Amino acid sequence: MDEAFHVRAAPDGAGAVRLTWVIAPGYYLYRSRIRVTSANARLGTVELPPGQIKSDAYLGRQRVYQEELVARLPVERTGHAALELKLRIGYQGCAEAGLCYPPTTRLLTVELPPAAPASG
Amino acid sequence: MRNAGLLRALSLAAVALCGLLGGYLAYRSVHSQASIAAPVAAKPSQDRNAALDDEAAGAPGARVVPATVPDVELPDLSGRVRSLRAFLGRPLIINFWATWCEPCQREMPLLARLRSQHQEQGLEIVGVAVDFPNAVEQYLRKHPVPYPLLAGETQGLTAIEAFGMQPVLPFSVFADGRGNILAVKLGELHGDEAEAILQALQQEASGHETLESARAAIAERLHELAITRAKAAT
Repeated sequence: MDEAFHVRAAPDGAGAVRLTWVIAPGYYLYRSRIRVTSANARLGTVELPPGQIKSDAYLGRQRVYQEELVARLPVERTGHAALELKLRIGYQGCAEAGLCYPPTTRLLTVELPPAAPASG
Repeated sequence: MRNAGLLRALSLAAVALCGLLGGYLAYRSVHSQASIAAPVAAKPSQDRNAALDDEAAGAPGARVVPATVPDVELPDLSGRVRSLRAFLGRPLIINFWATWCEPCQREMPLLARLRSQHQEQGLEIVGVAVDFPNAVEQYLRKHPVPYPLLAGETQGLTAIEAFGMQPVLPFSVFADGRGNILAVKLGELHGDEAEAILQALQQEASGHETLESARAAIAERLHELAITRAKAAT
């Protein structure tokens, strides 16, 4: 699975995480099957690019990602200290060759830097 | 994760095969009880695909595709536990699928059609949903299928293991009436592939081909079809 869809997470400033999936040639991820939750922080809505439309005579149209997906995940900070953010990242994808990997969840930890105190 | 090495090797194999065959994948045919199923794309000793499978076969905890349908039990949708071997006595396709798997859904009308068209040969199809029974029931309300279905997430995974496969779907196991496995097709099944396998299966069942020669004929034909399909896709 990791060879087909490799996901990593990195801080994007103090208030967001950048999620990156590297998708092997011939494979695609479903936009609608990406889920991110955290047990120790409140998250905003994952900002996903529109992706490509994949049409199937039998199954209709679906939005998918190929090659690479970069998404921004806002994090609601409640304090200023650095945060060890724990994420559960769910996703699912298939190969153009006509087979699918099961829905998968990866647990990743991201070190968010201290948030700047609000001015004023 | 258990069998992480094997999973990695098979994932690599899947990725590599897709690249090598222009997005086309992995057929497997069963050569012997002791060997892992080799892709039919080339002879094992001459092909990188096979080398990846050999790597898998040598990995700790590596699985093998059994020569005969294993003694696996799963519940049907009423909760009654059924043995897969109870469906033997006639040619059988055991189709592993899930509601989250779109190629699986795409091939279901084909499976229904095959069952109807090969009624005279007594062909039966059993769907094994590696999924939650309530998800399967919900799916079937919109897309009913005419053949028997067994379902269970945990039991389905156990069944996949018993067939020496990984939880990558769909795959279809073709067996004769005595339970000999002639072929395992990984990935979406196409009509020409199914017909080629069923033809060889019939030859074997009628005594015109030995089990081994039927397996070899299937492997060769699937290889040809894979190349044709890959060329058509480019």
